[in-house]
Amino acid sequence: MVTVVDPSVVEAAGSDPVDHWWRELGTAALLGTARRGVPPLPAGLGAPAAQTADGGTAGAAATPDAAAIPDAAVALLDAAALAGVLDRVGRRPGPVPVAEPAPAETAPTAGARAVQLLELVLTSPPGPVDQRGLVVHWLAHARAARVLVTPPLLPVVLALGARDRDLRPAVAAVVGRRGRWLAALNPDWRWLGRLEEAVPAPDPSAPADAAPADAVSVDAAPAGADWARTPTPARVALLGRLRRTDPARGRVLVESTWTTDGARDRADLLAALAVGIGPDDEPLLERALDDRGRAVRETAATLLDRLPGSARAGRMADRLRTLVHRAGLTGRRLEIGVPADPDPAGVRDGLGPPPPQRSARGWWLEQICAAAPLAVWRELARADPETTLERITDPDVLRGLARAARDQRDPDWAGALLDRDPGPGLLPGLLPVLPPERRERVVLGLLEPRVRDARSAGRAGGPSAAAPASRPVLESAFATLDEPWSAAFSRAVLARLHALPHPAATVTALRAPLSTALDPAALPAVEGWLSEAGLDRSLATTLRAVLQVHSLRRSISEAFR
Amino acid sequence: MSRWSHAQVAALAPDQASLAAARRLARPGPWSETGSTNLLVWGRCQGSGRTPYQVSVDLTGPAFRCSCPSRKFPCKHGLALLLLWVDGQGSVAEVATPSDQATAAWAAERAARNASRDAAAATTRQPDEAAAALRLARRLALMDAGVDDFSRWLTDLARTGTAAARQQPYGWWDQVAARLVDAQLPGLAEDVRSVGGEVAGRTDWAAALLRALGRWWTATRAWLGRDRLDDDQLGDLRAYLGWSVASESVRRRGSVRDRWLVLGAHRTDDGRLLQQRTWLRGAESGLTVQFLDFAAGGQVLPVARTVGSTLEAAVALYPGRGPRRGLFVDEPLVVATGETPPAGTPPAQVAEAFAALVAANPWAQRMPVLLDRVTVGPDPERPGRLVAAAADGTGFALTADVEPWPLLALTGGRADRLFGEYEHGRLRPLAAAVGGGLVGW
Repeated sequence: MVTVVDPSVVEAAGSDPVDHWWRELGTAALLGTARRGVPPLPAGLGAPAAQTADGGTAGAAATPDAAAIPDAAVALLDAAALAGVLDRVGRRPGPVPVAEPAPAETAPTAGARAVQLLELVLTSPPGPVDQRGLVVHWLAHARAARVLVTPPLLPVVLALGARDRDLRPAVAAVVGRRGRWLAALNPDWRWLGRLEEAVPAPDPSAPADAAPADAVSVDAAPAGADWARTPTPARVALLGRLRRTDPARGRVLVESTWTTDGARDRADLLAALAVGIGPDDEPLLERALDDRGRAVRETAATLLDRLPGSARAGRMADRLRTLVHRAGLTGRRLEIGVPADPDPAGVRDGLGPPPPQRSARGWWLEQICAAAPLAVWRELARADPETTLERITDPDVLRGLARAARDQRDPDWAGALLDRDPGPGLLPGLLPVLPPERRERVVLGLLEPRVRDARSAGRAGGPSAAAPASRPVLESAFATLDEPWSAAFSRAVLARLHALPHPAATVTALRAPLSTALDPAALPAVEGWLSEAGLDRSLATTLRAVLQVHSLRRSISEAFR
Repeated sequence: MSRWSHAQVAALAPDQASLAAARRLARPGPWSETGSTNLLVWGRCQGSGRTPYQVSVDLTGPAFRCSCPSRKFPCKHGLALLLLWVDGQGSVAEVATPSDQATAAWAAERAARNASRDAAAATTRQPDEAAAALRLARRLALMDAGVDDFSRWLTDLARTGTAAARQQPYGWWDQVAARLVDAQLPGLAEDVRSVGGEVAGRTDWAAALLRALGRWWTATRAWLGRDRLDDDQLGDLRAYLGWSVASESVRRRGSVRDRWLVLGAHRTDDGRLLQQRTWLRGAESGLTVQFLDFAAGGQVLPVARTVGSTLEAAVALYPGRGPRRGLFVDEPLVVATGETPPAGTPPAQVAEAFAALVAANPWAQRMPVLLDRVTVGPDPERPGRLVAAAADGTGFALTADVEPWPLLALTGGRADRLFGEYEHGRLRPLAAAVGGGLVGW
């Protein structure tokens, strides 16, 4: 028979006799009715229970084998049926404390169309590789428009920030107060709070004429004891921003805890001075050359490489002068000697043990060439950079010169070195030193089937190696260009790509910059290419994805207008 | 009809490759003669062949038709057309009636086929009445013997004690369950397996097993006295034992036509079976009805109804006292979205309501609950879990099987309405409303 419980019976469940019965019943069930009697029902659990207890034999009689079923077992099961129901319905929810809800939002959320596009980008981007660029594009627009993502998207966006450190500032700008409240509850999203310890996020509700989001007002930087207590990663992040607008103040902050910070912290903080570095930083860097920590000394030397007017640069110039001599009847040959074992002053200036797989003397030569002011070469070779380079063959010297051109930001030397082809490793460092048009010319040159290879292949009698530069070289070279590209450059890139005998791999390598940087004026050329007959499958796929990303980016821009 | 979300379309794709292919096609270029109504979306897609493929999608199924030779179903053209339609950029315009003759004909044919199939189902059963009666008698005899066997096993267990039962290997429970399956009592078998699987690992196993014994004993006793049960009581018992009720016989019971608000949905996956529970609330009838979908062996569950939308439909109810289960007699029509949900149950009455439900149906596991003005936040006593507090301070621990972040993000800790399933004294949150209509996750 179905046990019917009057809800009012539930009231009795909390009282002591019922508790006692429940415990006794539990014991009887554990041990079995063969060893333990079934407790009688407490008075409060009236009719239905009593009825089943009495009706036990009647129920058993309905089964064919009544004699085999002992009454006690039936009584236990009847009681269990009642007790189980009481146990399920007798629980009463009590009051609980709940944390403070999120504060009211002050900034508006993005429009419906923009939100739909973000959902699209997050759930089904044209390709996994395109997602990040599109998200960055969306976040930048939202930040500029001072709008927030809608609450349901917060978990996805915060998770993106957890995975991708570089996205964090952009994510922080669009999550609003709700996002901050939410992030404080999830250990995976604590990065948001840490980020803002260092840099208070711009309040999106603030008037549009407030300071740009990347700048840090001087008041926001902690001072004195606060600076000392701030965790080092946060201090590094803060310095990175502060040095852009007020380098002196950033240096003063580093100096304020210089004697109390640990070696690792000193190295990290010193490295952060790379932003906005200038002659005023020299005394601190010079002092750091005597630091106890090796990482601090090496960081100081690396930074001093960027100050050709420094005393260390002068000392390196002196060392260089002893090694370089003009030779030959007309003085057009350059003899470059090998440095001798450095004295303690040389070791202090960075002529220490070489990195693995390098000869010590070759390393010292590179270090000297990298640190000496490039102007010294004009004095030593009495020629312009191009001519000087024609007279140099030593790879250690060339490496050092390339580092010097990069660190001293010398466009003449950078251009001369690039004309000479300094090797793939130095290309991305030298390109940013060049003026934009020159940079574009060099990058376009990389898309030519490589002349030198073709010539050597031709000499060897084989077919010409008609491939452009390798994928990593192309990727890093294109990454140095300012985006978006000009219409003329965009068209030139496409024309070069189109002219390649086997463009698929190169186009795939350049998928990201083509998707984000190409000028809209060049898109008809992509469509035209796509409509050509007999197009390689993977090439068509990539070109189509490029068009799709452009269309999505345009839609996103329009949605924020 | 409101257009779908991208995620809904993505859920229909047979595989990732189809979805990626569809994404590439989801731009106006290759499409012509597109259009949509409340129920249909159609268009022509220029593929590699000379004649464009004719693509039609019936949104109610959803059902797809495409003249392309692809063996994928739905094919990329159908998915792409939906994506284009979802995008809502004017490339698929809304019209009153299908302009495309082929699509209109197909839709009419589908509707007619559905109707005739229902009619055929109703007629073909007639001549087999004698055979059906014989099958029923055989089944009842089998079940009687199974229940008899099971009640003997239960009394043996009661005599020897649950401590001894706990020492048994899982195979001991499994054997009992297998005998119950043979006796056509699969629901009871499933319960035995699940309890047997947990006995060894749970700290509160003794109380759980005692409750299970009570539940099983109640079922065997109810079966023996089934002549005295009314239709609804028998329906609840059948649902627990796993004796399914044929959908035609549910339809014959009549139906309730109403405007149904989709309160929330929950999906479970026990490794073998995917289950989807969707809760609907009738505006006129005040009924809260659950709809169950199942999929096994790599099948896909149908697309979930959008939480917060209002459907107009006739719903037939399975026999039972609660919670009621229903099925759609005709294909429901989405008539509104974002309607404000009705007022919720006073929190102090939730426990009473559950007691009343269990009194009516002792095997009821869960109860749908709609609460007003709820605060949600981390549970101070159970790290990583959530609690909800109603306006009067009554607290509900939330179940751990639902992701907390969508709920917290959507509500910011404060919801005008919270819908969920009250189960084992806890609440499984399935939807919340902040300002407007209910939103699920």
